[in-house]
Amino acid sequence: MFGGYSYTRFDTRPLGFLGGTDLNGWNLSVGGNIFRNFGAVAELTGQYENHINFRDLAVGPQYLYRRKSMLFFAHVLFGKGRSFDSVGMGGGSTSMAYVGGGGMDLDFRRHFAFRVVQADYIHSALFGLTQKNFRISTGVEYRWGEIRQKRHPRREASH
Amino acid sequence: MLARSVLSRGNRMGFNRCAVLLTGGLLTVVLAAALAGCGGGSSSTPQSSSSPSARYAFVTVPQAGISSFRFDNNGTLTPVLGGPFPAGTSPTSILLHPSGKFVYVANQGGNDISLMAIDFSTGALSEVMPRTGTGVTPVALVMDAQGKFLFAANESSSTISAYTMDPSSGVLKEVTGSPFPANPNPVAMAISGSFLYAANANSATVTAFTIDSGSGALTQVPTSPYPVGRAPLAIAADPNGHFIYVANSVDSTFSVLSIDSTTGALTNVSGSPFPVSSTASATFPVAETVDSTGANLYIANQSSSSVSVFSIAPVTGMPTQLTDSPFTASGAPVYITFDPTGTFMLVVSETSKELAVISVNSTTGGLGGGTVSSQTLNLTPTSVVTTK
Repeated sequence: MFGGYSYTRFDTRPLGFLGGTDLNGWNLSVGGNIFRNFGAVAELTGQYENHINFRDLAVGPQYLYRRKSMLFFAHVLFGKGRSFDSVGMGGGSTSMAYVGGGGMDLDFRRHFAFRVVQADYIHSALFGLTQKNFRISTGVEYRWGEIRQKRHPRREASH
Repeated sequence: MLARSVLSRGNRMGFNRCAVLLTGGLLTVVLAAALAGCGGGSSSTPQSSSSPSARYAFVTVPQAGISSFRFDNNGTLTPVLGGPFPAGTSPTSILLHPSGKFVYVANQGGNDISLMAIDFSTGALSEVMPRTGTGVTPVALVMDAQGKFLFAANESSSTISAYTMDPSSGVLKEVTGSPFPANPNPVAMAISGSFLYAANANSATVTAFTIDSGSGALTQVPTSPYPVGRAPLAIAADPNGHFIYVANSVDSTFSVLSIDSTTGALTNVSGSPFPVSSTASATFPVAETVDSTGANLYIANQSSSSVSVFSIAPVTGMPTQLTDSPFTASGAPVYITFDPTGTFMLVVSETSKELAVISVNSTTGGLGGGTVSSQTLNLTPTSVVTTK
């Protein structure tokens, strides 16, 4: 289970803004292993700024790779994105959201790890227009179990 | 020995972990900064208006308010989220404040002027209350060359209201003696130096006023008004201060009048008025603009959906129609203006209910490049202005 800070560069140019918009917020996710290096993850995030915000709820497969105390991961998630704006009369919009990304965790206690970085590309179609958003997250992860490093038979035999 | 070895290994692992954590944290911050810096201005760091990668275009739509579009340097228009933005009743004419931070909107049905602040990160407009009263049916706004005074033509009360503009807040203050009497039904105005000229639709005349440089008060030039063609609906001034151009809509002609630089009096140049097309293919001129050098005059012909372009002789004011003029413009153009670079002409059309961006030939001034982009407004627009 991960929780932490996230920053999103929200693609507001298609909405008529002069450029992209910087959003700050949170990222919560829950994941579980199904096979040795494969699992599923669900995320709920929210990022905010004065004029506009963006939230998403997405679920999908995740690949995990352990290297000593580091755990690398990559995922592809599918779900819904939602945005509210306060420009003019203001309003909201919901669309499909596609998330692709990955990152690295670093163990620092038996059940705890620090998420050094998680970087994601988020494709959304809010307000009837396509957005190509980028998000990075960092925070703390709590683990109930552990993902073991893959053994190398040759190296073990030589010892 | 074993204990030291374990301790040393433990320290090394701890150090490595700290190093990775610090590197990771730094990476996160750098990534966030890099992402924040890319892709133009952001809402948290508004783009400087001195070197914009894009501008905004604001269109008056009397039945809806003010529609806003991001106007990219390549001429592309993108509707701004949340628009149209409410102004007063029947907003008809719009003008940019000298600071570039505000627009003034003449509300024809509300008999007042709205001051609206521009949000440069989103392109949104928000009205700064209270509104400033005018005469009856304000249909046109104009600003003096120094950016000190604003004038509103009140069509129904046949007056001209004058205001001083606060340079930082944009707040208007009516000039003592305003509104000033004009001739019947002023519908368009132009300023050349210290003179203001008003086209009077019903009386087929142009009235000349002297602007008091200190107070902004208007004094009618004694020999004014000057006769022009029927139903003059548009007027434009030569930026070099030599000529005034008047679009006579019913006659499908335009008058060229030379300005007496001392008194402000007007005199028709030889041959004036001139047909808006040598082949009579252009009819009902309703809007005009002149390029920044004064070399070319552009006239929007509503009935024939075209824009006539004339080069102007700098000394005599004699117009010569450009080859291929009149140029096609969609759906009954009612207002034309240039973007600040002079690269594009923005055309507001009545029947097609759209804002179009037309490419301007930098050598000839012709409009043969065609429409670069356009946006439909669904309701009838009346005028447009762009940010600097």
